[in-house]
Amino acid sequence: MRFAVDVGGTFTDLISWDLRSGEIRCNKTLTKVEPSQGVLDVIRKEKLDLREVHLFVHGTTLGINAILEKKGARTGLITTKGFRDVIEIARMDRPDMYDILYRKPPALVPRRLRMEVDERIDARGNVLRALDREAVLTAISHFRQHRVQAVAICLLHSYANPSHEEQIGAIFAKEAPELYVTLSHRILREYSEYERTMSAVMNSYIQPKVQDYLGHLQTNLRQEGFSQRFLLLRSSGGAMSFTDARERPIFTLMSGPAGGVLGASRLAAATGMQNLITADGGGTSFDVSLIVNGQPRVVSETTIEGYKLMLPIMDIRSIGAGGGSIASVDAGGALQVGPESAGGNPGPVCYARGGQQPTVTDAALCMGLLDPEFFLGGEMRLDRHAASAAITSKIAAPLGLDYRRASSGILAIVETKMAGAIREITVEKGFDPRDFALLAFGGSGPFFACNLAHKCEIRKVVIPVAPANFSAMGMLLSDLVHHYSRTVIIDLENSTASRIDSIFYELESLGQNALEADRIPPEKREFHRSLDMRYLGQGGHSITVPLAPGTLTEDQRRTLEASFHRMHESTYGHRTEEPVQIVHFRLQAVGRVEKPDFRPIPSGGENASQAIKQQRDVFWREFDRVVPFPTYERAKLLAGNSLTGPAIVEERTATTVLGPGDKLAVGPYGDLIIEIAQSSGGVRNGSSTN
Amino acid sequence: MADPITTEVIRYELISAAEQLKRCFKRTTTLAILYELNDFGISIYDHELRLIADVPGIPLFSGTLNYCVKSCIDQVGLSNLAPGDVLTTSVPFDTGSQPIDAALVAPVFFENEIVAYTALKAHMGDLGAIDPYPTTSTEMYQEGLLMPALYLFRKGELQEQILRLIKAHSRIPNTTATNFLAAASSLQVGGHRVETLVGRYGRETFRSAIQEMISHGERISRAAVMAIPDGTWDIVDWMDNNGVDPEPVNLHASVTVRGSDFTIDLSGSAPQQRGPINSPFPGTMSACRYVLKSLTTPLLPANEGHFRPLRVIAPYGSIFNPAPPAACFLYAWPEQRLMDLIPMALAKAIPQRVTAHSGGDCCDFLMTYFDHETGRGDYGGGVEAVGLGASPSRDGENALLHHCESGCCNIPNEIEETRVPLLVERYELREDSGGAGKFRGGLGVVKEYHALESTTAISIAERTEASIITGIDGGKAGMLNEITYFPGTPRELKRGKHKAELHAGDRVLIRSGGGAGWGNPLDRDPHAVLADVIAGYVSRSIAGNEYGVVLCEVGNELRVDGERTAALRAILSTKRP
Repeated sequence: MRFAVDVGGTFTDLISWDLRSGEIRCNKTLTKVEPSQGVLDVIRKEKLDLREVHLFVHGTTLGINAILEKKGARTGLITTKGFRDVIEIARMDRPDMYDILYRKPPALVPRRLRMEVDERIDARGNVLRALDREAVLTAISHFRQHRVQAVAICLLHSYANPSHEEQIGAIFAKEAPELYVTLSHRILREYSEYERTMSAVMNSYIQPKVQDYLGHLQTNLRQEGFSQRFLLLRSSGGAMSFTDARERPIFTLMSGPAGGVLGASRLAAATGMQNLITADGGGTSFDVSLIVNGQPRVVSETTIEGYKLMLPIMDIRSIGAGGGSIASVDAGGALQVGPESAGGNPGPVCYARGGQQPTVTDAALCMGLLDPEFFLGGEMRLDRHAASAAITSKIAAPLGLDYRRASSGILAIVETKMAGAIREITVEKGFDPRDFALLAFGGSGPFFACNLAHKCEIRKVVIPVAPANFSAMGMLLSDLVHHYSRTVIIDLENSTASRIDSIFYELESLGQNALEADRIPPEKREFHRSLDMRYLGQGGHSITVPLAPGTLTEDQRRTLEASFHRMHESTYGHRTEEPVQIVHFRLQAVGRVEKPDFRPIPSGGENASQAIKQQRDVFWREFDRVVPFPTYERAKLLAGNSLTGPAIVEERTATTVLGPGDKLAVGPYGDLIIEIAQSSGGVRNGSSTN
Repeated sequence: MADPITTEVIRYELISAAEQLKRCFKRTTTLAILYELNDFGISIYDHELRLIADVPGIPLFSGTLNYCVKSCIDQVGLSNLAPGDVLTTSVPFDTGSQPIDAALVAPVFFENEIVAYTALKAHMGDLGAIDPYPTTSTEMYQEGLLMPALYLFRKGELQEQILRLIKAHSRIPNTTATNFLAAASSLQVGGHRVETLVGRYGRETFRSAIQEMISHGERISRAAVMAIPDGTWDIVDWMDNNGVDPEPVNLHASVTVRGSDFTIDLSGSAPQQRGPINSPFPGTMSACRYVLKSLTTPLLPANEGHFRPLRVIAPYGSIFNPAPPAACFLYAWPEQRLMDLIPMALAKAIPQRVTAHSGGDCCDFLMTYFDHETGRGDYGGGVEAVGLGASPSRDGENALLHHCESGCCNIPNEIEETRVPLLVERYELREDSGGAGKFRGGLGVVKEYHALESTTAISIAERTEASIITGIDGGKAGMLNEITYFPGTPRELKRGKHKAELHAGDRVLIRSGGGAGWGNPLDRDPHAVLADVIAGYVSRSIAGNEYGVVLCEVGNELRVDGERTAALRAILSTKRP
């Protein structure tokens, strides 16, 4: 038995896979204030016997939320003497060239918690000045006095020679074992002091929270009999061990969203749909990403809240918009929606758990788009009366509207924000959304999908099976991955195959040890080597050249130069006579894990009438009145069934809304494939003309 | 006709083409100032030379590229342009720059007709001036190889003779030649994207989308100018000197807003100078375009329409419109000053959109590591961050590049030390450099270089002595730029524009200027002053002398002494006008 749990801002989702029967099951519960409680709740709800479980994959947004809300640990920093302000000076640039009023994001470590130690290492790794150990002790007492919880240590050129950072780490372990310590070279072995410092600081900033949470969770799982492998999903889509994640939580920042994108790439392979816009809508955030030619986009640098970080991460755009987004009327009389969310606790007004502020979910309920009796399959009854009362008093009355029109305005605003995020990753990157299908998942993704597609002129929408648990499903589809890199600048001409090999061996032995610790048998291990190379004089690197696995031969080394020239010419249009250099060594160590397949569902004819549930009155903006919508039960749909909107398709954990003319067909794997009606110039529900 | 979605796709696809061009150039160039610092400008124009896309880099470059394209067409003739052509031009009066900031221009053809031009200007390396970065030239003939619209590629064929000419004039021939080739390749990569785009949507749809983009740009820019109250505002300041003669040099800008028209009159500024601080008209125009856009449509992707409200008056023969053969190598410095002075002139009209004066310029310090044997080389050092000015509701930002280089980054010290033989001994914020005010100016930086081998060092910092600009509404000026050669030795020397030979062990200390304050410092919240002292942004003596805030220790903590602060502020306020 394997299972995965994805903790989102509003819901905690579970998916389990029984290897013997092949059965895949889903479940979900509201996210709790103490998130590990939600994980235990959903496990109990599913009645999983943890003694039977061999693998647990987990995704959490705890780290990223701490950064977004600026609620991380009180963090201290130790740098080389003279360089404490590197994190505040940053890269001195601004994202918009004409913005004279630009502000940098605040430095995560205030200036008085940045301590300097005398020491110096040069770019080749030579020690110019030994470490002043006294200064480290002074820093420790300063940090204690100021109640610092976590400390990042980033010294100049530690990527080339980490010995001083290691010495400081040892002093902390002995003198201040209560402090969380991050050594920058353990996060990144590449040059660029700002990005490395920031990546280390960010790790420290979230570490106490994440470590606390993981420790708590593990203890509880053990009490329930779980003793096997515990993994966390990385932002890059691979998985990492529990122990590793405790030390380097920075790599799990986008673990939940990465699960969805990973699932999407597998679905792309299974269905042959090569270009997808993934839209992961939850209660709190809306995450979009692209699958181009079947591949998710993994980048090695990213900017989070204005901070530049160097780490492998899926290219995902995230905004604060979802079912829990709070609606309000501001002082100027304008209707605002989000980015604040009611989350799962207290949640929307209609959850009747103490929420007072109307949300997007309340608006949807008021318009008749949600069935109050079938939320979470009827497990939770929604209070429509409370929702309409809240919208009437807080939104409709101040705006002089009736509650249904006010509700439809709330949806219009949140959808405009979501469509903006889709345009940012498509139109604004030069991709035409008309060349993509929209793959919508998460608890609220399917609800908005058809309207968003219409707004962005996307012609096809796909809703996978169990969309609310799709990110968790993606987690079950991940391999164990470790990324290693090292900046070592070598002239190719003067190098030997054995010199290059020796660096890869060093990285591979790290990878072997890590996979050994992960209990991956040798035959399931793979190592992918690549070199970042350049012409002498060029910047970081110009070309990444993948290498064949195994020992590098002299012949292969000689052909490297030719490959570089060829790839440079085909990428950039020219080659030069300049010498070729290696800049970074990169290794991906992969532990292959057995994965479930998408399974076909029983098929039937075109007629979908067996799945009809009821007719429901829905306020539809295009008509500015209430119209009857047939509702279908997704569990009863068969492959090959088709139907035309207006319609609502309901399942336990999600609702899909089809506008008039949208045509749905059920695919062989049970996914809903919807052709969006072409615009007739009219206004659809919740969308305004623009 | 292009529907609205198609227009948006074309708009962003053009930006994406320019971005790809930029990535390609950054990845293939061989100077750290190009691939890390972004010392370049890149733009795409339509067939009528209207700007349709640019990318972050040096805005002073981007704004001149239409002049570069136009001078190429004027010189070779439109009918002599063919697919696969790349021209290069380096005459300051055509390009609005120094010769080594050479421009490359490539026409983009679709079905035998020009549909666009891609253009790039960058600091290519070295083209053989009297010094690697002259600060004392008196004629353009001393400033490097002048190339008037020469074909670097003709119908796709590299013109080897031009490359030989470039190499023959360069102190670092291989590096410089590689950068010219990288630029030409990048232009073709960007051009190919534009050609594909036109093929996809058709020429007519492409043109109508561009027309709509530009009309929309003009509408929105004019609406923003309309929102500025009508009136005329003047501002005056001084540059330290022209590099050759010792006297300060006068700058005078007069800004007039009438309805939706925005006029900048520079007639009151100094005449053309003997030293190299003359700004050729395309460069002057570029600085003024930046100012207008930053005040009206700062966050929108740029196109020609945004600049339509602008008119610039600069008499021929003056510092902002010099006549050949004036020396122009330091053209960017008077332009940088305009970019601070013009917004500040408008402080009364649109306080919410401007800031007080920044540290003033890009505080440039270069160490040249050129190898005659190999023909390669690189620069150490580079431009430095300054403090930005305060605004009416918040402190100025610490340590940002001056907005003349707003699309640029610093070069990480770790990267610099792998490339050139120097050590950076410290890199930190400069205490007390921000001008006092109710809202304080941002802090400049301190950076200390330690040469490990012999090198020629050159500094180009203005605003080290003659500037008279203070803050706004009682705010004070920030500290000025300060460059100290051989600090702490008998040879110690402070100079703004200077050249010196350094040997192993020699040091140079750069202290960049701070931003000016806004409002009376005695009105600053004493707790904000306390926080500044705790952080080390402001010293305790300045807290007392400038802000009238008295601090006292209570246990280990520093606190505001309320009574003594009130008393001190009462005394200081009677002493000040």
